[in-house]
Amino acid sequence: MAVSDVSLLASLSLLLAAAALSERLGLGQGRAMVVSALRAGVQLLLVGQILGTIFAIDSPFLVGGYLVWMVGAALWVAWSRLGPRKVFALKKLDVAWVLLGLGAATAGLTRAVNEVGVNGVRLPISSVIIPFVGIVLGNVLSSLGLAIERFQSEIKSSRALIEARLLAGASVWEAGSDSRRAALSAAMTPILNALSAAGIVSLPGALTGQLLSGQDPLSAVRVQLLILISLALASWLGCATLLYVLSSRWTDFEREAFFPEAFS
Amino acid sequence: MNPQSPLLELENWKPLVGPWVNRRARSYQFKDREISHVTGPSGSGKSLLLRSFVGLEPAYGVRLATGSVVGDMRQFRRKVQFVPQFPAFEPRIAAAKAVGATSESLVRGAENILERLGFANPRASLDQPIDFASGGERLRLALLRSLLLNPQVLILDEWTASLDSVAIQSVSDLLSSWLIDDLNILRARTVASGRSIVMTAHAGTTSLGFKIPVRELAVLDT
Repeated sequence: MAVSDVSLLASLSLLLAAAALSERLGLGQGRAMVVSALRAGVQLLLVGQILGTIFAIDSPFLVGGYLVWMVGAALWVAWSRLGPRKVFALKKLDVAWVLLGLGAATAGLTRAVNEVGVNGVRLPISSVIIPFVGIVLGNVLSSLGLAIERFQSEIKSSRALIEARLLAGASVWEAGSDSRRAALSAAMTPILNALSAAGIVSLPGALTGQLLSGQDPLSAVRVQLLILISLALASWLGCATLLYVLSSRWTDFEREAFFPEAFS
Repeated sequence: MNPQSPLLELENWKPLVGPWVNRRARSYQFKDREISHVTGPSGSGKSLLLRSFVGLEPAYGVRLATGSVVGDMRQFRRKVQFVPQFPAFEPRIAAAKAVGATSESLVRGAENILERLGFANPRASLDQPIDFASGGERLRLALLRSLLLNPQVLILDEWTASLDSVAIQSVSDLLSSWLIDDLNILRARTVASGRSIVMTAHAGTTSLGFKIPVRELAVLDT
C-alpha cells in the first residue's frame, strides 16, 4: 500500500480541523496538536531522506555513527524527562552506559539474526539494524523511566521498614528487595501486557506496518515476535542493571549502611 | 568484663549531613550497666546521633563494641539495637513473626515481656498482624523485637512520645530489669554480656521512673 501526498495532506487537514474545534470548544490542546503533527511530519520526512541515503551507501561506519546519534538522542530525551524530579544518586553516565550497551547488543544480535535470514531473506544490514535498535532503545527508555521513578518512590515510602529490616540483621541488599521488585514490575508491565495481548487485543505497530505494506501475514508475525521478545529482554536487562547501580549508589554494601538522602 | 571499659564508643563523631556538618567533632562513651539520657534542644541532632550509631545516618567516628573496632555493620546492629520513635514492621504477618519470636521458647519470652509492658492479652496480640496496633503498642512491640535479639546496647529515640504515664513506668521497669540482668526470659546465655541503654526523651529523667541513676549527656558542647 502506497500513501499518496493527497491522502497525507487530507489526514493532516482533518487533524487541523480537530485542533481548531478543540480550541473553539475550550478544550485546549489545539496548538499542541498542530505543532506536534508538523514536527512529526518534518522529522519523519527528514529521517526518510537520511535513512534512504544510509541504506543506499550501506557502510558500517555510517550505521555506527547513526547508532551513536540515536543513543545520544535517547539519553537527552530521558534526562530532560526526569526534569526537576532528578533522581538522587543517578548519574547521566549510568543511563548512557545502559543505553549504549543495549544498543550495541541489539545491533550485534540483529546482525546475527540477519545472517541467518529473517523469512529467508537477507536484507542490507543498515536497513535492519537501524530500525531494530531504534525500537529497542525507544522501549527501554520508557521502561527505565518507570523503573527509576518507582524505585525512588518505594525507597522513600518504605524507608522505615527498610531500616527495621536492617536493624533486625538483614543486609542492605535484602532490605531493599521489595523496592527493586516493585520497580521492575512497574517497568516490565507494559511490555509483558503487549506480549500477552499481542494478536488478541491489538496488532502491534510493526506487524500493522508490514501488513499495510503488503507483507505475507505469516512472515510479518515472525518479525513482530522477534521484536517483542527483544523488547522484553532489553527492558529486563536495562532495568536490572540500573536498579543494581542505584542500589549500590545509595547504600554502602561494604559497611551495610543505608542513607539515601546523603546522595540527594 | 571491666565495668569501666566502654561498651560503645564514638571517637571524633561528626555528622556528614544536614546543618550539623560544621560542628566540632566529639567523642562519646557508653559503659556497662549505664543509662544515658542524651539531652539538647530540638534540632540539635539528638536523633541523628543515635541513628548514626547503627549506620542509618552518615557520620565520621569510630565505633567500638567490647573493645574491638566495628568492621561489619550487620553484625554490629545485632549487638546495638535501635528502637525508632515510629517503628515499622513487616505488614500482614502475625506480630510474633514480625518481632522475630520464631520458636516456642521465644514466643513464651515475648508473652512475658508484653505482659510486663501492660498488654492485656499478649498471646492474642502476638497472633494478630501489627498493622492496626496503636502508636504506643507499636513502640512496645519494637522494644520487644530488639530485646529478642539479645543486644548489648539498646538505643531508644523519643520513646516516651506515644506512651501514657502508666506505659512509661512499665517500660522503665522492664528496661531496669534488663539492665541489671534480671530479665530471665530470653535466650539462655551462659556468659553475662554487657548492657547499656542510650536514649532521648522529651520528658525529664525524674519523670521516667527509672530505679537506676540516669546519666545526663548533652549532645552539644556547653
